[in-house]
Amino acid sequence: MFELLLNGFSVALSGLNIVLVFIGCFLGTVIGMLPGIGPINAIAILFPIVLQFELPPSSALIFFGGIFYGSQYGNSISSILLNVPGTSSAAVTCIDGNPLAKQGKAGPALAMSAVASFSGGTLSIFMLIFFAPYLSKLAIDFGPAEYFVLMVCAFTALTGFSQGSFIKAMFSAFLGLAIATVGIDELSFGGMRRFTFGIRELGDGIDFIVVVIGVFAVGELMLFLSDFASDKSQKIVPLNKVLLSFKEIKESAAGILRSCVTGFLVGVLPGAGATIASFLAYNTEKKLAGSKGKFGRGDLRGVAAPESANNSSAVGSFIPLLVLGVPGSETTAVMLAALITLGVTPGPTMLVDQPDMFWGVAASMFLGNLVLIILNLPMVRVLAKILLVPRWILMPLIAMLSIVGVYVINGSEFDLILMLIFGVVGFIMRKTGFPLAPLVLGLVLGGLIEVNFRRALTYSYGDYSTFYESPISIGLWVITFASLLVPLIFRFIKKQRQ
Amino acid sequence: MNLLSDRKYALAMLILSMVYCVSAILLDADFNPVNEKYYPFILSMIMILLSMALMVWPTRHTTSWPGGRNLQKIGLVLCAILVYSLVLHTVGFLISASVLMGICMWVFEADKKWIVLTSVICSVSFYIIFDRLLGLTLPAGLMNFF
Amino acid sequence: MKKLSVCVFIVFSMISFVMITPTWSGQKKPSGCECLAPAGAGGGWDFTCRVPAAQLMQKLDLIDGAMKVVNMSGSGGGKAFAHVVTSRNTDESLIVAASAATATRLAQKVYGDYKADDVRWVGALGMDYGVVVVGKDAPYKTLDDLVNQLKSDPRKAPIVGASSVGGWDHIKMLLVAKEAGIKNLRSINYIPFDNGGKALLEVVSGRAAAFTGDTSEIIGQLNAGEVRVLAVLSDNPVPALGDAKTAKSQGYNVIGGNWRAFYAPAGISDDAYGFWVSAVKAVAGSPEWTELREKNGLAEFTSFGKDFDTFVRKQIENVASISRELNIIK
Repeated sequence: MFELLLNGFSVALSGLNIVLVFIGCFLGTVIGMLPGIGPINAIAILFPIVLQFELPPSSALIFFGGIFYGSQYGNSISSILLNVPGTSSAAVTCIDGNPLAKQGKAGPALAMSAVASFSGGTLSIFMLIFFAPYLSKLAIDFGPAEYFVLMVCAFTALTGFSQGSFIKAMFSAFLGLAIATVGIDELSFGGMRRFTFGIRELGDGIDFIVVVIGVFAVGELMLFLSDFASDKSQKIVPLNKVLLSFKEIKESAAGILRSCVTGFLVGVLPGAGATIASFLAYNTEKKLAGSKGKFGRGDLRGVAAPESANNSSAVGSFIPLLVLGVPGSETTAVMLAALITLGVTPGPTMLVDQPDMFWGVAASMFLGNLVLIILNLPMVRVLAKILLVPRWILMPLIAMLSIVGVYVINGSEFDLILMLIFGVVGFIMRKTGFPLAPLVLGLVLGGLIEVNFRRALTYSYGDYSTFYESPISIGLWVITFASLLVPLIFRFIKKQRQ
Repeated sequence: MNLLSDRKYALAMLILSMVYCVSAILLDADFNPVNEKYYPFILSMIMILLSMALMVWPTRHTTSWPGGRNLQKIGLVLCAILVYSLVLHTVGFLISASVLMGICMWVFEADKKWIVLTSVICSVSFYIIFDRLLGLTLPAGLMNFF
Repeated sequence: MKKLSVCVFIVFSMISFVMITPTWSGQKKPSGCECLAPAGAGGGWDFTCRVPAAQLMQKLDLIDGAMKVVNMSGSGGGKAFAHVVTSRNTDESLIVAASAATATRLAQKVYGDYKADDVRWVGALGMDYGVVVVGKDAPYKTLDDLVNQLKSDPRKAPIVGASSVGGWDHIKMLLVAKEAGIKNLRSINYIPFDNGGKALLEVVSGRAAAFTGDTSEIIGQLNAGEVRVLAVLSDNPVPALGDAKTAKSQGYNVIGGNWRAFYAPAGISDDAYGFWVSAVKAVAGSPEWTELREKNGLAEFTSFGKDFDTFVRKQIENVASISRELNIIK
């Protein structure tokens, strides 16, 4: 195996591929920083370059990998600094990242994000190398029923996202689930239109990016204006500290490791992806920190956990793509299409037929992560200074970037109006104490929960026992109940002792 | 700081959930777990229960709603974005974005002499970045000759 | 002052950059062409625009300059269709990617009141033939075995595919069932998945009895020996599938596949229409396309101009009639 990996390194370390990783990471980071534009668009945009230069497929995949990591890191930059997540998984990074930036600790937050992404990514590559063939079996064994139970399990993570009232957090999440039911239902004969109120555009459903940008970016704009004071000495946050101390890294290390494992396992399952991974990881770390943590008010561990999970799930999602030919996320779906266009058919035979491809990619992932941290750590100092830009230009710029970003995804004016509506919704929710992250989770999981619930019941002709038949489902139920009950039991024991 | 405001929100939640519930019931389908009606109905039931729960167990917190000039500013920005999305296709990106940017800058009390120049530079550079460099089409509208 | 001059310089360089844009110049070779992909990046329509249209038309020197690819997703292609009919009806520099799914949706009135007459059908340059596939350990050895199971107890034989319920993958299976004489087509348990690869895993794992989809979706798993092809819905065996039998040779006269094609706006001149037909013809006949087509698991299939128009209308009629039987449309 090591021989194969070494061979992989010789593929990855060829001059052309190194250059491609650099360019991919850099362009990805820049494009990822634009609100709403994530890895999917970045890859689609840069695909013609691959065709133009007639790159060999392995180089193309290496290039895409670079773009993928880069744009994910770019996303966390805009989440931390501007509170505008470009993807649903980055919405978790906002929770602690943005408060840190507002306290003048943008530097450490960005650096932590880079370090966590790097460690999460690198560690999960080891897991990819050792476990890929076995883990692909896991993806096969996951049927609709198992997916449904996994989603329920992910929902227990919500307990970590309430700001005071758990009921409000739950309602946010269910609102997200409800919004996800809008549109044409693919599972009914002829495609029933639900909750579209006669509006043609609603037939396609509500794109979660539109909601995310609405509630975060437009909501933030309104929030800022609502406390706007007209004095000229508009508060500019001083940069207290730019670098990360060794102590801070040490404190987060265990969390990064745990999140990396969670992220990787979730990433392997096609469809579950980075969002669930970051929510689960954040929740776990918050629970473990207990009352000592400053989670939600700016804790570096709250940045480290989702970023590590995020990146390792990105690595994990390469397993179903390369070993099964099944895209695990929208991003890998675009990669799959690109690969097929280049004449490569990923599938179970790829490990045997085209080992260069698989091992080359694994090796280039190491390289990609390394390049990312080399490129970005020195940039932290510069990036953090974005916050020193005067508000009268920074806020309008963020608003414009978001508005343009929302429009270009689908080229739809209607999306802009939706964004506006969700901006108002997000503003009201923040003012009234409803957390936004559960809304995002609900929205992302919504479609998956419903289709898998109905697929499973279609298989079983309405028999609910399908949800607890397989060992995987039973295991997931155990985890679900344990994560709900264990904290309660601990609290009970503590009370008894006092 | 009072419990009353949370109860008011709970009432709003309840109305929202009821509307959702009724529209789910009105869907033209049989009531069967695998159909398109069952799942949203279950969701709406849980949402109704949650709103009732909040009425029973409200939390204490304060809400300060914006008033006066700040409220007007928020209204102005929202209207400006609405108008922007309505005219974008006909007027085109460059003009409408410049105006919107200008309004936003004015609301944030930018120095007047900078507003025009900055907003034009911004919209032109956005057009170049998105439309030309990234190939994500923005409507040309009146500036079709470009 | 220095800052100002830098600003002025940037603005000027931006303007000069913007000015260099392609326009329709009225020469024989059109310039500033555009291909509209009615879905987001990564799908079949996107491929049709990016590879045979944008990449090869420029390479074969059929058009002047580059062809721009615009993605417009929405309503399963309905948004792009409406856009072409209402606001681009006379745009001679525009072609739009289409496939069997376009015809299915037109037949099922998914695009509202728009009809096949509202555009001009240019030509098709490849076909992804439909397949019926089972897992390697499945008890079904021939298409007859599967059909008999569907006749006797459809509850034991769930079918999976990538299209929505009533969509093209589902219809292909139903055409086979109808040919076999199954009366209650709704009794067949069809479960849709997000993409072909995911649906195929249901067959590999044994949860579903059979998969209905396209050739290109199964190549990877087929080469690994995880699945078997019961039937391919083509006239002649497809080379990419080895010795897989056609449905026709097993007594089921069903031909179905996902063709890759283009349409143009209805209001363009006959000259422009003729140009696009010949351009697509030229691409379809080029060795470059043959190579790319085979790499993508597409079989040879060409049909242009008037023939293609008739072909599309016939397919729409077929889908409409089976959709009426299923009560999808009135």
